[in-house]
Amino acid sequence: MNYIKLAIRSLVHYRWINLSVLAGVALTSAILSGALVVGDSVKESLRQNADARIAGLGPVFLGGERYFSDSLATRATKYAGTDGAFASVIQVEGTALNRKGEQRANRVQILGVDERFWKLAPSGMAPKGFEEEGWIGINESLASRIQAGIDETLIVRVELPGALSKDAPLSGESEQTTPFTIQVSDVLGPDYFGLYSLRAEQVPPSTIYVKLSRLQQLLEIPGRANLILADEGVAAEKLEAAVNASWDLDDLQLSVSEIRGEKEKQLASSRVFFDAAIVTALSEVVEVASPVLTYLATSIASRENETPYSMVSGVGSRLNAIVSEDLDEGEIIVSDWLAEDLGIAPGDEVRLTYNVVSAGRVLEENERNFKVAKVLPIGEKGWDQSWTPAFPGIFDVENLDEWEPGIPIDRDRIRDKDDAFWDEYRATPKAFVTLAAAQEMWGNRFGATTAVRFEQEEGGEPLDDALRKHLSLSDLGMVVRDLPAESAAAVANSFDFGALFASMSFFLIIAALVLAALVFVFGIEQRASEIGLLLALGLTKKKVRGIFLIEALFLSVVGALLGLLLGYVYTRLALYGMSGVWKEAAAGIKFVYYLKPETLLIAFFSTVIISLIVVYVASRKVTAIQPGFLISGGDVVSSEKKSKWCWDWFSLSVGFVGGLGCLFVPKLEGTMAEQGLFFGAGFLFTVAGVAFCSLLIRRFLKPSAMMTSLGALGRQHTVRRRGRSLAVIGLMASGVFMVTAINSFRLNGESGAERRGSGTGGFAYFGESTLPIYEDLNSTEAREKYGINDVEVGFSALSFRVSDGDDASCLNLNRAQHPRLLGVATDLISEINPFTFTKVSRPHNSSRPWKLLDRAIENEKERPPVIAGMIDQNTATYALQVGLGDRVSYETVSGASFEVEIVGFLDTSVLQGSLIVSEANFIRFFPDAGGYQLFLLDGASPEELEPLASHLTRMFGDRGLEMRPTFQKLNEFNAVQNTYLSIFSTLGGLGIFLGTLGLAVIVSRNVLERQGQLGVMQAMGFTRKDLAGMVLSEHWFLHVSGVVVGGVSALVAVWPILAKGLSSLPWLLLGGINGAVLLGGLLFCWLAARVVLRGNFMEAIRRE
Amino acid sequence: MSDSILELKNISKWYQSNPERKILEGLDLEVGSGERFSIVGPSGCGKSTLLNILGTLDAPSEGEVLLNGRSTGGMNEKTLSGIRARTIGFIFQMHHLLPQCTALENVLVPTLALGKDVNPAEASERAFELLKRVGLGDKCESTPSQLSGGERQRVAVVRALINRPKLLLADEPTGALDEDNAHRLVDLLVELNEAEGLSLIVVTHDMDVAGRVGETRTLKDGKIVLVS
Repeated sequence: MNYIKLAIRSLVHYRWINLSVLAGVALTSAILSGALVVGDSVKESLRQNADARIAGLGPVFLGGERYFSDSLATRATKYAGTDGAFASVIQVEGTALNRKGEQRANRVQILGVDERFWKLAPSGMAPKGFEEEGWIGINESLASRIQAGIDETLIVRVELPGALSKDAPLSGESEQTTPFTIQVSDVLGPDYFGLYSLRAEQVPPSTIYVKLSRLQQLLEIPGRANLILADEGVAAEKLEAAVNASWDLDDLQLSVSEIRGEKEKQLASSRVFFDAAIVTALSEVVEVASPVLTYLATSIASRENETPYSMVSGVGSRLNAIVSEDLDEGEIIVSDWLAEDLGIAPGDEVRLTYNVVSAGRVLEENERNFKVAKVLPIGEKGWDQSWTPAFPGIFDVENLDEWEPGIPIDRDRIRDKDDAFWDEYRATPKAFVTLAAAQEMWGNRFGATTAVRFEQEEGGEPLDDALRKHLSLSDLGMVVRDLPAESAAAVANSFDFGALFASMSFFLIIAALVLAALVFVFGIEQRASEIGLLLALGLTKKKVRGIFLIEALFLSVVGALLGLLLGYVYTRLALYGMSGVWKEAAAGIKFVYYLKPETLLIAFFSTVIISLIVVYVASRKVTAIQPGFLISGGDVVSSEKKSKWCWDWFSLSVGFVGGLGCLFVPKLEGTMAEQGLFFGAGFLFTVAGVAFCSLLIRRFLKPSAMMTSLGALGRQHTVRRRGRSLAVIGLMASGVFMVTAINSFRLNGESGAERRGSGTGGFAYFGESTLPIYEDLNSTEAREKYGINDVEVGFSALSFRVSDGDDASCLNLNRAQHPRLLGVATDLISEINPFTFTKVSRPHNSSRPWKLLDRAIENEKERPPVIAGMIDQNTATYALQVGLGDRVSYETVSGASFEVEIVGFLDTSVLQGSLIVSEANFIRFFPDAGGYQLFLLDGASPEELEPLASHLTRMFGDRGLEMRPTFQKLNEFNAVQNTYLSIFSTLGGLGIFLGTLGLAVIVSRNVLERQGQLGVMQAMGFTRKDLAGMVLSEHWFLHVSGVVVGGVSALVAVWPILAKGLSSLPWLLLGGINGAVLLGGLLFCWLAARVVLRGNFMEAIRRE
Repeated sequence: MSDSILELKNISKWYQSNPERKILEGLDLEVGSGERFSIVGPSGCGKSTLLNILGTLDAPSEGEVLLNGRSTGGMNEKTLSGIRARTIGFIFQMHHLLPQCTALENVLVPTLALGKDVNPAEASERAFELLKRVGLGDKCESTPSQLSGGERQRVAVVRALINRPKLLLADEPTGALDEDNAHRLVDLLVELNEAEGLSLIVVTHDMDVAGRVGETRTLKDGKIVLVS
């Protein structure tokens, strides 16, 4: 005889109880492993989604705002020695309209590609027909969105890439967007980069594929590209080295022209303004470098005369014969033409008038006076057109009537002599000032130089080669991104669905464990005399517990293993749910089943350990009892401490009064506080309800001369087992309450939407555009230009600049690698003061927390500059996992780094998914990103503003503007949380339903304990049916009391939502859960009573 | 009388739930080696309580229990278990055989308490011999459900003997048996006392059983009041 043998014997002998324990353990293991495997599956789904998105691509080279030569990829390939591994691409954003059905898609990515692109695709080759002239492909996502197929005609709109940003001064009035019509040749799937996107988001993008040459033609940028894609076998460092070693001046849109012989040259940019990094690099490689800044003066006036629209250049004293060292900043050198026109001579004063462009393309007119230092003949000593850069709309026109410089031109001011000047001298400057004076007047975020004149030794190193040693492309915002690494990081740090499902399955896991423990303890208590015997025979308590632990170990291991198999079903059901009824929680993902062996091991060992702990605790309790007591058949349930009735009254009073207090405290509608107070009221009413039931049970204790019914006799038993009875009521009540009342936290964007502090910020409409809108919608000019005033409804617009980046909201399961930045005018938003802050850095102006965005943050030495940013609390906590004071790193267009320090959290708002910074800081670090792409309209209700919203959508349709009521946008985010609540309710409900099985165990146990009693009653003449009725009335009372207390309290908790209308709650789900719990409990009680009451009571009496 | 193996000195026992009611009060008792007697008394007089204290299954509220001259008062659970395993054999009114084990296995259960000190093969052989001795040699593989009441109680007796105890305590051992089986059982116990030299105390309310055992001590008002 040994312990193992004894344990095995016991396992077999008590097999029915052990099978129940096994089932409980298996269920626990199934739920735990199933939930964790959901996490594995979601992660793997995201990984496969990411893999499909980048589909075998390696690092990418981004031109930023520049279009480099499409031959750079070829040169880089040669340098790297990787044949066919690089492809030049144009990638722009636009809108697409299905001509037939009028469906529009915004945020469409348009790719200009050639054969090299397709070599990198999973297919390894171009789609059939690609060689055809006019070939066009769209991806499946776009096809589905606008219901377009092969041969369908689409109208596509893109913004023509200008030489400089539309926000830049003198950017030209050229057509901002251009439409072109295409006919779809093919619909492309994943094998042909159908899911391609550079953003770490799971929702498939909409894409149009055009032949590179054709797109270059349409965008009027022949031979250019803005993206190089590399094969996955290429390391990021290799690509970076290759492009850095291969670029030439043309790639940077730079050109060199001779000024005076081969020695004196001028570097100019088709982007008009120069990056400071280029000027600095050039200064380091040439002997002499002299920057130039030329600008348009709207007027040069003397006391009596005025010359309109003249170019003026700011120059240093070197490399020219016009400006000398002694020219003062307040002095000007005029041409003889100008002197004659204005009737001025050296010593006279002239006034220069010019326009600068501030945010929203608002023109500001400035003036400055100069003293005439010299008058020099135009056309001599190098005074020619070469000083003026190719301003779009100016340089390339035939006559002044065709001028479109991006500022209003009063053509009435243009005289015949001005036309004559243009005919002869074109854009030659009429005057010169010092470089310092020019940069002070006209320097802007796009640059303070329009050309650089330099001297280079004859026969020296070619300029490109020399510049390459001092200028890295990343200095100009042309960067290499390691796409595979970013994609892996986005997935690795993505939202942990495994933990979410495990926590949501909490009730279910607890219920299964409790069930297993209940049955196991039941079994131990049934074997109490056996335990007493073993102790009496001399086995120590430790050895006796050891025997039970061996049994439990066997049951745990087998149960856990079985559960791993069942967990497959749980996972499949969960994934099915997330693809169907719960799809808002994970939009856009195609789920795959995937498990990692280590996950199963975690679930297995966790289940075994927890089960063993439960068994250890239960057996320890019994083995602590004196063996003699156990042998004699004493009741092993420790005698319940008799709590005083006053505690019940105390709980009832506190619960009831507290609950009423929560109900009647003033609260703001639609706030989290309101929801919390109602939830609190419901919880306190649950406590009061259970206390009331306890008092009711005590009432049964009162001796009565009259035993009026068998039911009354049965209820007497609840008194005997008061603790157990209250446990049943309490568990049922709390379970029903939690599962139902959690829905009180459902979010509804429409509730209280007009309040400033709500998630909508009090704004009626929310708008997003695919292409930037440069105008300030609040300005008179914009309202007149777009007929906004005709709509006759007052409004104001809060506009946001938007950086290219990942969506960090709850709609994106991937961890955002480059969260989007929004830039907003601090004064404006501070004045309106929308949204509610949950936390803000100190010190701050409590009435104007938005002012914190202007806060200067002290930089540590040699650390990147730091600016202040606000963020939605949900985004911070769940998506980016950052706290107050934490910093998020970014890169500027010039390749330098900066950090955004979180200074405030917004409560669930419509701005979630992005970091918000001041417009000034945004422009500082993203000078090339012009215009606004996000809008909040204020002023009236959504109904009243609807005509305006429709008008704006029409006016800016070519920019892809989409307007909708703000609460609808907020509800898009809310849907995610609401879906999580539904999942919790469902899983929790299943847990409570499982708990009703525990009720059946309790019924069985109670009956078995009283078999002798029941036998005596049978001997008295009561039928089995009578006895069944007595048992059932006792337990049904407990069960129904618990469900009613929990249900009524839950109704209190969800009252604010109920008041809005029945559709706000998932009635079908909640009704189903609570109905199943109520009926299930009644049914299981009845079944258990029926089975156990079949036993032989006489035998039980005999045994007693 | 030979050396005392068990001595109770001034034993009193009451329960926390009713401290006024003293079940045993100032009781003295000495058990010599090889001694044999029964303890009788009216129902509820504390016979089983006294037996539990004798067998270290329960502790007195007052007084001292000496086992081979050593007080059990300061002994820990492990030591007491060891004493029960090696020194005392129990026979209960209800046989308390493990339903999942055979007759032979039930007899061997107490050997688990001896751990490495027991040779399994020797123990098995001894168990078999003892079962044969009580006429159950052919029932070694039977489970309790396959045995009659008398047979079960004989298995329980053999179980109590497997570890060669010095003292055998029987609490109403014939309570569940018919007259014939009861007599046979008592005769067996007496035979074992005489043959093995182990001390025997039988608690019973049955005077016939008490008479068969021999010396009778009456428990009344918490004390041993009469020896006959």
